[in-house]
Amino acid sequence: MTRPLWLLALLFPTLQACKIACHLPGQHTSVHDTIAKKQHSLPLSSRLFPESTTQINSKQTIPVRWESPSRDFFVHKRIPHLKRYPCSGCHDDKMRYDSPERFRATHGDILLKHASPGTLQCQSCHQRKNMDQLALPAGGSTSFDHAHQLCASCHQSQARDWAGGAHGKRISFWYGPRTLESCTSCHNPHQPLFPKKWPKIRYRPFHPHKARSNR
Amino acid sequence: MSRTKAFLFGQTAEHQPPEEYTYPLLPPPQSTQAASASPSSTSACAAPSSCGCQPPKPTAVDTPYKALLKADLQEAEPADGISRREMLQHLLIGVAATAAVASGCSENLEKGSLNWEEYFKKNYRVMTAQERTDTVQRLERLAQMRNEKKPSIQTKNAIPGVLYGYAFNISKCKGYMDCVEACIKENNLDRKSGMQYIRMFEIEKGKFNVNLDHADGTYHHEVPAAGHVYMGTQCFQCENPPCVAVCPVGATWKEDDGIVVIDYDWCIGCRYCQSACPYWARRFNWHEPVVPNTEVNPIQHYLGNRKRKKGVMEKCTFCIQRSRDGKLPACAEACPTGARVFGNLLDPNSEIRYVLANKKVFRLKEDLGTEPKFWYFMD
Amino acid sequence: MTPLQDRTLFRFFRDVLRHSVTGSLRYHLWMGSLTFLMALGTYAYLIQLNKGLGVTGMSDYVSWGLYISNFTFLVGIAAASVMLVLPAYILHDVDFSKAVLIGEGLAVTALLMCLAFVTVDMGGPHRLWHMIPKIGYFNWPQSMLTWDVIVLNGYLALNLLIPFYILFSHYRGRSPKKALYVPFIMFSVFWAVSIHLATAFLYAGLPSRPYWNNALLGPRFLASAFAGGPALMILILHFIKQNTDFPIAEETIRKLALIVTVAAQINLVMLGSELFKEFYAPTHHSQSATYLFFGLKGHKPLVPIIWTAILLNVFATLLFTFHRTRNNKPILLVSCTLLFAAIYLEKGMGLVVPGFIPSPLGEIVDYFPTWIEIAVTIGIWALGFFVFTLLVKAAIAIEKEYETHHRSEPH
Repeated sequence: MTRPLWLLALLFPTLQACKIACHLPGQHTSVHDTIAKKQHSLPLSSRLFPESTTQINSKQTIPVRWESPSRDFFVHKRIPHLKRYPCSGCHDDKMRYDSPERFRATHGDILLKHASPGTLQCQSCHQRKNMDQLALPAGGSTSFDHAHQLCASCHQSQARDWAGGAHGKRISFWYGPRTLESCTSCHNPHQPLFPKKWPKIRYRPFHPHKARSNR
Repeated sequence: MSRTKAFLFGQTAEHQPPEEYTYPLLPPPQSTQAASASPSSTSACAAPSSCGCQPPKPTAVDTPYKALLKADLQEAEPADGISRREMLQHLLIGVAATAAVASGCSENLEKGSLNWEEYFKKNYRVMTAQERTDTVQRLERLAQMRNEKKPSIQTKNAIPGVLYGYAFNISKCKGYMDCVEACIKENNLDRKSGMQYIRMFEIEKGKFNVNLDHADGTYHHEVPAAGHVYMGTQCFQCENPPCVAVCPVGATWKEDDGIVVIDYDWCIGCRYCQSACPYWARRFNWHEPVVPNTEVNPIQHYLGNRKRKKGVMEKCTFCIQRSRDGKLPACAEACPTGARVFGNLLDPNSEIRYVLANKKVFRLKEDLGTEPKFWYFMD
Repeated sequence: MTPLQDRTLFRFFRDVLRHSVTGSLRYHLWMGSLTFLMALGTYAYLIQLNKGLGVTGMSDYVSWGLYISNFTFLVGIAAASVMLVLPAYILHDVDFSKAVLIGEGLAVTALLMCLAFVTVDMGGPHRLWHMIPKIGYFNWPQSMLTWDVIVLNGYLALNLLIPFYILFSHYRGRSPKKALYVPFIMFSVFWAVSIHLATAFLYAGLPSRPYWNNALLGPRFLASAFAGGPALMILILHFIKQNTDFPIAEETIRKLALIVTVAAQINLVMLGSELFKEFYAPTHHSQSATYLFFGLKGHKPLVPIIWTAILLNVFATLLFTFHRTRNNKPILLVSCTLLFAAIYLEKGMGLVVPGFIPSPLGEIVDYFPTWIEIAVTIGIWALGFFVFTLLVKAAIAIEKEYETHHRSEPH
């Protein structure tokens, strides 16, 4: 009868095991729970990274308001990056299209591949009268710095994503006042699709000795 | 058109950030404080705005490992001065010094002593602020002695109130691999083996599946190829990282801002974490890594892109040396198509939160319960 | 040898050492060639230390190879010594008691080899002190590897302590006190099961590798270990019986063969169950098994290995199952060899390597060990034979002397 008493010795390790089990991995926490728990309603101090505020919000940007002040952001100015701006330097306030030869000589690098062929032409976007301004389809004009306003006239969902954060790029900093690349910093407005090119680098897996890879 | 009217345009000339952009001031993070003593939270809300902001409490002990860490910290600094470990350490340094004196060269002496101290240093997690400063000084000095470009190694802690998240737009990525190149340069990846943290896959349209069964990770031709999509993987900084649980020596852990890091000097190279990672995100140094001196990125973090040695693991850290400075990771900054979105998951106004709220997102192998903080989405 | 009344602990070790360096020419040749192989392994290991693990066939794709395969197999051999301990001490089957010392010697040897294999697989073996609790950072209980470290070292200690106590008592001409060592033996029985389960859980706890992440892995480890380990024991006991006058009863070998039979049959049932699960309705998770058994996208380096293993396994199990073949000594020896080889192949390369293929991102990279890995592996096996020979030689000498002096006294 006394025999199975030694089994009692197992009690202690069992209790210990239960204790240990509490520390084992396995209790999975959802990242969304973590966000809900730790989320705070206000952005962090801009003093955390002084350089982000000083470097970016310089004279190179313009502010944009989207829907609510909490979504305000900045956009890189485009005009400083335009090589032959101001256009009025040649165009004396009017757009002229004399001949294909003349066009090739002056703007031969421009090949319009935007939307289906024939949909757009120069004056769809460029103001006829004042060449230093862009023409809005609904009438009126805007500066080259505000090219996004023109783009958004047609590409509304992209504009919404751009203002929200799912399209386009922030510049350098995830933190601080949002400063975005303008539409035309990434897209060539005349050929907005990204071009074909060779990848920057090749994947060269490390194969010690004779290990082979083939896919 | 009503959408476009929502844009308001400020003056195109000079612009100073308007007053509402000066955010409520939190005290700067205690950069090298190991224990991260809670910033005096009373002064945190001193900003004029009537904010109801709750400053995050960095001292909250909510995971067992933090409890361990706390216990270890207490142990590391005994009230009565010197610990047994330190005694042992000093003794060994003494022995090393004697040996070096015998060899008769002061440079060797210093090097030997530095190497001994490096060998007997603690796990980064349990180091005091002073010990962290000391090891950084030793590492910088040792690099100098090896005639390498002098690194500046940070020990910045996680910023309170930040949880990093990443989103990848599959319909935007064109497979240019600018991100991969930027990552290699930024993170001082081994050039000899061609180590890459980011893997880019080319997948034929219609054959896309989350198991990447028909993905080509070795493509090299003009991109984007017709009829193909591109998808990148890297470390997803899981909320429940399986690699962390399996490490026998606690050389890898999840920081408070969600980044999974490795203490390269503590890793013993058993590669158990490599087996445990369901995303093939971890790399091993199969031999001494090589980075040409001229290409070394000297801005480094102890847990990030500092010099590794042979026989240890390494991985993507969302460029911890950049992200803790408020910068985007190198891959996100280099991406020419804007396919990479990075930000603070705890900030409801961040881009990453916009993506989560407005796009149809998915993560790889969600069935494993690892809760990656890396989402894929399509336009 | 030292007179009985002067025998101290120091003299015990001195006598054992003296005894181990004396022997026949055959003995010296045997030890000499093992030393040569160990030197070869050391040379290869020094190259690996110097240049890094890149000199092995392992890569980021297949990050564990020959070393960890051997480790896994040898944990099984170590655990299997329980098959001798159990009947000998608990079931009062006195017949086994002589063989038990040999079994425990085998366990110690296998464990030393395990530790050696793990150490050579480390990227930073000089940083292993980081694992020492308190001084380093021992990630227990989260990491299964720390459990494995505990159980392996504990089992090593137990298996050193028990035979040492028995042998030292016999050396001093005393009869060991049962009350002192039997509890430890009972303990080691449970412990033996735990070492192999902990090792299986090391793999089974990884959801990232579906090939390993299955509930049958632990039981299958045990079944294959309890087939392979005693099979090796039969070979060793037979060799000892042939070459020394150490008394080993034929009954011992017969009972061991019975254990092997049952374990091998259970192992086959489990193999069938596993094959059914993988191939009746193959899923994405069956890719590793497909790679192992049939090859995947033209990669099939393990296919010949695994089919050889399975054929040998089935054939040997059949030989064990029939009484006539099992009771025929030469056939028994052949079937033991076949079974041992089968389990080595299946559990070594067949278990570890396919777990990594395809990689979690679906890439297929094969693994072939390099000469350095093979040389280091051979060196460690030579170390195992070396240590085992020493242990057994000493144990046999002490036991024989004790037997001649205390023949009348019951054990």
